[in-house]
Amino acid sequence: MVEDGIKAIEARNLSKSFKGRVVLRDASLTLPTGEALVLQGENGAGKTTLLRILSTVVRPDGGNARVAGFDLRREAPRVRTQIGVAFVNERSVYWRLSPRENLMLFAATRGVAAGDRRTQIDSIAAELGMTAFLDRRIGELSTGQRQRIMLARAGLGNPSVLLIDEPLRGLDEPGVEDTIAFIRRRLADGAAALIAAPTVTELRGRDFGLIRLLDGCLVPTAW
Amino acid sequence: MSGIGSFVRIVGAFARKDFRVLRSYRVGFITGILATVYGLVSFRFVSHLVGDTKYFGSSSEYFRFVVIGVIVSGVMRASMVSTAVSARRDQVEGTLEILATQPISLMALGVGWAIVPIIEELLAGLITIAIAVPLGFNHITPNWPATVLVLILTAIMFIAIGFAAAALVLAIQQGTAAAGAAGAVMSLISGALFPISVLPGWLRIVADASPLTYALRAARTAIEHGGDTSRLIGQMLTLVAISAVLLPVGLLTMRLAFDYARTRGTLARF
Repeated sequence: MVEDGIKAIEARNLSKSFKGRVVLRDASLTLPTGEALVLQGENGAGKTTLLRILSTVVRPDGGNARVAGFDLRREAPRVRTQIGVAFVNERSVYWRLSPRENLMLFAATRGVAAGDRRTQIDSIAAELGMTAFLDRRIGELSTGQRQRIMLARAGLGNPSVLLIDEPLRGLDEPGVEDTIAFIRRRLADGAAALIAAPTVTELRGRDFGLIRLLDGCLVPTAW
Repeated sequence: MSGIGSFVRIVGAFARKDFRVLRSYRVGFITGILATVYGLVSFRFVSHLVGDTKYFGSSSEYFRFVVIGVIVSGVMRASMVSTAVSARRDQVEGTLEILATQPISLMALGVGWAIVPIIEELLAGLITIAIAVPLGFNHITPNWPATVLVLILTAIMFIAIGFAAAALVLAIQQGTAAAGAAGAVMSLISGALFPISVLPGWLRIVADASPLTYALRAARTAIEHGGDTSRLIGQMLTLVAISAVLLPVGLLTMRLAFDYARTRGTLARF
């Protein structure tokens, strides 16, 4: 977890353009440890780009950020040791394998000790209601079930910062509650979460912060 | 965890993943063995046309030559092409971007991409020899440990070129065809299926620049003249030296390609 006094995320003046189209403009945000911040914005507003920048897969054109105290530009490999990422991409898992086999791979890449992988996967699977389909092939599962696998993967290795894109997409009601509880448990353990979502109805009243992305700028917003 | 421990852990995890995927495509393995049998039987018949020339004293001599060529070329292709193919598969299937968020080194990722195809090809090499012996693959004095070492050094040498091919995939979403073509050209000019001495003079100079030429020489010494330790050590050291040059270059190209894709935001593009 992040050391005392260090923010989970401190982003300053991040900007990004793709082929001349400005997606982020001087975006700044601070996320303390133990808190969750919902990043709301319309489709195409740049939420995913911001998450991708913070998860080190896209380089910002300007500005910088520190994630769990590490500089995004100069210490990207160390940032990666601290983050758990779930993008909206149900193809980001190996479809010929089962959820357990997928999670075993990513538990290894996350540095979970060999002897702890099975226990940790079983525990996260129970939290997210995945136990019943943990050993079926991914290709046989529903969108909502695959969504849970991506969230489970983000939680492997107890990351300090969760970067989650549209975590409630495709989930049924129990799935929504399981996901919220999953995030809350990590917050209670000292992690932080940045959650991108186009609509926030199901995230309202959960004690999460809210920030809005408008025309590439971040605007603090009340619920 | 130490760098080496972390490397082994990650490569092992990729290997387990790819073996599981491979297990779900059993027919491919069987057809691969059938293709090996077909190729060897064909070359055995072709060898009858080649014997007793200025290049080979007998058809068996040519058959030995070509069997070793097939094995080493297979290891080359597995090491070089599979790195690019696996990178491309992760790119197309959508898993590349999430892999790029993981705390893993480029070396572990690159070797993880190629490890199962290389192990497969090493096994295929054993199967090839097992099938080739009753077909006339004999009169050899092999040094088997040295043979295995030569094949591993060959894999390391060509995985470095595979890193560069993977870099092309990362940067411009292409590179598998280039790796395949490079493999085909090297097989053609390096003395895999016929001796370099039959090539025109200028191509022999090109052959001298091909790493496969040196891998084939070392493999032929290890299998046919395994007792010639001093020659064997010299040839293996050549493979080590080539790898020592190519590996950092391959890793650097992969790093630059990742940087390029991150700057353009194209890691998820296919």
